[in-house]
Amino acid sequence: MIVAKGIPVSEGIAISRIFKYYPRAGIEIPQECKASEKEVEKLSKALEEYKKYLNELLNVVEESERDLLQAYVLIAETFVSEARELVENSNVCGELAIKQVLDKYVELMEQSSSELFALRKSDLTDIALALVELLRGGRVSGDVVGVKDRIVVAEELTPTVFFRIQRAGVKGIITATGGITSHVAILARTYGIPYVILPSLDMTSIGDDVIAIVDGFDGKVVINPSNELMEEYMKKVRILNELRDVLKKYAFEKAKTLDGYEVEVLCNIGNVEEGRVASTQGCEGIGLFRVEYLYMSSRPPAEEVLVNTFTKVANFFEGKPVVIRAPDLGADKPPPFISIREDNPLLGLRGIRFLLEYRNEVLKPFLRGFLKAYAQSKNLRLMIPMVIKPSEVYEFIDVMNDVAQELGISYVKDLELGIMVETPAAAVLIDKFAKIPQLKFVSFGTNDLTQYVLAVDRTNPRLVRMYNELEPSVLRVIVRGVNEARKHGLKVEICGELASKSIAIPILLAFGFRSLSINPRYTGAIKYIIKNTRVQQFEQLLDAILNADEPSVVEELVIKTLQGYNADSRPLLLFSKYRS
Amino acid sequence: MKVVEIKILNRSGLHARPATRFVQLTNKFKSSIQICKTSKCVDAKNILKVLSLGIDQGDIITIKVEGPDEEEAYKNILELLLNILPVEDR
Repeated sequence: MIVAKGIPVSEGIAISRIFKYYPRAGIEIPQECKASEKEVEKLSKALEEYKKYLNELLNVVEESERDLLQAYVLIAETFVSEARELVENSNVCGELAIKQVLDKYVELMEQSSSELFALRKSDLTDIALALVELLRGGRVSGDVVGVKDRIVVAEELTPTVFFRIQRAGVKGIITATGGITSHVAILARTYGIPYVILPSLDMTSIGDDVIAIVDGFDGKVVINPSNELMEEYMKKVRILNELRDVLKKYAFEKAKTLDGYEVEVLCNIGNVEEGRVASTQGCEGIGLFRVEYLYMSSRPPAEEVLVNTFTKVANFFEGKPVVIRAPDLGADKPPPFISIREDNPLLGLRGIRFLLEYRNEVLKPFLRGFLKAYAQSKNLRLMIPMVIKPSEVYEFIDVMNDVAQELGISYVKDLELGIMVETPAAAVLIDKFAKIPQLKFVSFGTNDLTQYVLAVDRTNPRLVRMYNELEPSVLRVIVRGVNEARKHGLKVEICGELASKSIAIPILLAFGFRSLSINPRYTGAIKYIIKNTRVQQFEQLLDAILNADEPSVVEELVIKTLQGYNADSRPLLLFSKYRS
Repeated sequence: MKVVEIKILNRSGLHARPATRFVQLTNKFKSSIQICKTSKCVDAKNILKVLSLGIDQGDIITIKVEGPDEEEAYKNILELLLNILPVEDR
């Protein structure tokens, strides 16, 4: 049995035999060649045949996906019309002409910085190679016979290949490369086909026909699973099939507990594209926008890029909150443009410490961008990472006021400012932070908080079993912080991974959280749990939870209680094994 | 020649799908049509060139139409960008 962890792209679980898909073998194109007399005619004929091929696909794909294939038609037309000119003007053969046109556009594509250029190099290559095959009198290749009910394993897939394997009845997909926002990823989600990207995938090491499990929830791939694991997954699949449609529906409903508490479900995102997707998945706003990605290049982002990025996401969620977290640079995300050498970066210059240290290089430009965006979009809010005491927040506010003055803006006093509670220090000082007039909310960042409370590095593979957010020590720190925050009138949110874990939801609600910021993929499941929770029942359980000896005891308590009042606990069965 | 400056309103901008709709439309007309963003202009009938502009929601673009059916092309393009796409792709 081999278990590998990858990136979950499309939810669902597939259990089946593997089908290794190899794209058409690289086609050799001559460096030099002369056009025949009928070269132009041959090009036109190849285009006609390719369009016929696409039209056949057009008849079987869903209405909403037709535009993509129409785009292929338009691209093929562009390729052939420019290739025709090349044939006529420089007398090269059609194949080489197509290749030259392809190269030109691949280069153009690489120069285009827009993250929206969702058509990839692989799309263009796919079209060009198909045209070359047709020019040579062949057929569009890529054998998908035998894909039915199998898990396709490939280096990369193009949308046309996806449509063909989908039509042939594919069960699940594993690829080595690709992106969560690529076309194939979107298509896999649309058609409900479980899909995991496995960067470590070595196709030669996997035999054809072996049994595999694709777990699109956890991003797990299991090759040759044990009987035990197979049974566990079969059970999950049964529950899943029942639940799939239910969860989809719940994602778009208001989340209210059985005893009538309304809960706000926000989402966490890490770039603009994720924001765009989140806005269509039932997220009621953004509780955490991680903007570090903007800083992962040779210089800090231009002001204009910052303004654009924040404004765009704010517009996706008009009238709903969008929390931008000031960049948490340092630790595991050192920016390439500043060199920091530290023996212990997790306890080093990061978060607010980094921002105050590099205030001219990073903090002030960030605040300029943020405040300019805020001028247009009043639903933006701002959160400060890694604080340990109020003086840091006061200093941050001073810098912000300076920047506001430079920009000549006065409305900065209306801005909702918050801190991320991710150090034990911040968690125990919330009453002090509450005295800062501008501070309106706190958001618990449970990932770092857990690692700091337990002194366990969550990336250390030897400590995996020790890192657990349900450790009663961690829960005690959180509950104490929540009580203080509510007592002092601060809004309380949580944006760590804990809020995306269904088993934790009843506990968090009993602690007093009424606003959760979660991974957008789980909106349906989390809202479903909320709607099946009777908060008062769990409030009575708080003592037992906070005095448990082990996280497993906490889990048992939650499951038993949910089952106790006959709530539908199927999602719990499905998600409770999140650590397995 | 007809020239107009407009703001792109639909959610995905002139991303693959809306760009396809746009280019399918421009190809119906005889007039030469250009689309420009930040002073870079390209042939609005070539999908790859349109995509290369990376036009997103909120971007200001310029459309230039010149030819025998420019009136009709102009009207139809505005209808697509300002009325149809913003409703279909919110």
